[in-house]
Amino acid sequence: MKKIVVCLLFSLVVFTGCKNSEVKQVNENIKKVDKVTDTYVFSNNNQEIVIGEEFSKDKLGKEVKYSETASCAFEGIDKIYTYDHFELTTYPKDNKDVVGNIYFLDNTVSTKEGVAIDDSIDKVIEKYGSNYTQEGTLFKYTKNDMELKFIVEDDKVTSIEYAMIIN
Amino acid sequence: MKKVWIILIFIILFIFLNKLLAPKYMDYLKEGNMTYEYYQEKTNHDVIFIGDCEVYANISPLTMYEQYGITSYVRGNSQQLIWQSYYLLKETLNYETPAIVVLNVNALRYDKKVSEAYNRLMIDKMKWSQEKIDLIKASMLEEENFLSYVFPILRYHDRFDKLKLEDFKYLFKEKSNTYNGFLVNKKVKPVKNLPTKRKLANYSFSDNVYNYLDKIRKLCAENNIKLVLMKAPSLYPYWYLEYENQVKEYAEKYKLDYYNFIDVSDTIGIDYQKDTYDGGLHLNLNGAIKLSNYFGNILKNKYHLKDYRSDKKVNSIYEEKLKKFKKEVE
Repeated sequence: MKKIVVCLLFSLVVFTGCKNSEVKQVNENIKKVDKVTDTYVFSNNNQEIVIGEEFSKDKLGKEVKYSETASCAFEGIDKIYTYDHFELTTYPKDNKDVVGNIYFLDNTVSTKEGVAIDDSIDKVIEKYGSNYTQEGTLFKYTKNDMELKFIVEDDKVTSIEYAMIIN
Repeated sequence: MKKVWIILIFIILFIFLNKLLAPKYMDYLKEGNMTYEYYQEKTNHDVIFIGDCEVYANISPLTMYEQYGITSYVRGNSQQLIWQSYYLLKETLNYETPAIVVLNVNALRYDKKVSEAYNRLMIDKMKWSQEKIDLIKASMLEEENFLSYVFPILRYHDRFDKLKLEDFKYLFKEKSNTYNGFLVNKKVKPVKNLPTKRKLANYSFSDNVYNYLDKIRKLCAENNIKLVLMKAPSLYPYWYLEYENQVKEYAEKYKLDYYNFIDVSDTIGIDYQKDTYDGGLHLNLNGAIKLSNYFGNILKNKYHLKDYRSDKKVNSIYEEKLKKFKKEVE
């Protein structure tokens, strides 16, 4: 009899009471990810922008254009800052705006490793290696929770984007 | 005997906790109650709209009824993907067979499962049926598990310290937040700037998307339902010409009517400085009324739908709905 009561109580505790340990585990995982520095970094005027980190507007100066998009149901807005040569999108996370995406607008800006729009696919491979995944014209280099994406048409880079992988 | 009592108490407690901990979607995240609200309907509908937020934000069935006597319902959810639309339509046919199904094509661009959070909004309060089982299987992300849809406590056990007043208030009762599936939003947020139109690596709808589009088309044909395609007016996310061409091609191939309301926004009278609540993504109440007036006129005249305003039984139900609707919108 006691066994039944203990079993039932235990199962209830399992269903409802594992929150703290789970939260602790999740927090630890987040800390681990925060410490990861092995990622592709965008650099503009000696200012480094890291995907997934909190966005500091001061780093990039005044944007040319600012726009916002909201999600269908959930709170929080994506903020899109358009600068002369690239566009940066932030996503809300833990009450902060983190850099989610950087998209190049023309060939006057390049990745930290030196690849710009109009460069050849050979240059991309020379700089980033052959450890990429290809889906049609899209070449993706992945590091931790971010992707560096190149669209390549006729062997030439036509689009460059740094993007957070959103699960 | 004592054992039986203990097991019984455990079962009752388990059921109670399942109910208590599951989100109610009443005052907060109202989008999560949309699937359920349909089951409260007392009459059939001549038109069923299916799709994502572009239908539940932009189509007002009660406006269509008031103006044209059309009975309709929006079975739309946030980020409702094409396979989800298919199963929701299939489920709808367990209750009624409309004359027309209008499918909003916006979601055709998405091939990947988006997020567990959106799955929950759509599925949590859906009644159990074979369609729900199939829908869960088609929608689940890798990290999800089927059992957590059966026993919400497995998913929501950590809501103990997040319970809100509504969790107790609506423990054993429900309320309607939409008007035949239309979620009213009266805010005005004019269009100022739009993000850059970005180059995509691939503009083609996937085989999976076409597969479910085919299934919807065949399901309608088998049930003698006219399938109509629409694209709601919006300025963002961009509806690329490549998307438009694929929809047109599909519509031509299968002789479906397709209405793209982006192109006729001016004719409809949509003013993106006044008629949108989020800077051009969705229409607000004013915009939705304008679109519903415009589209209602097409539906009424082209498809010769019955005017139910002269049907006493239906009209008395809709009069009640309209009274409530007008109270909220005025």
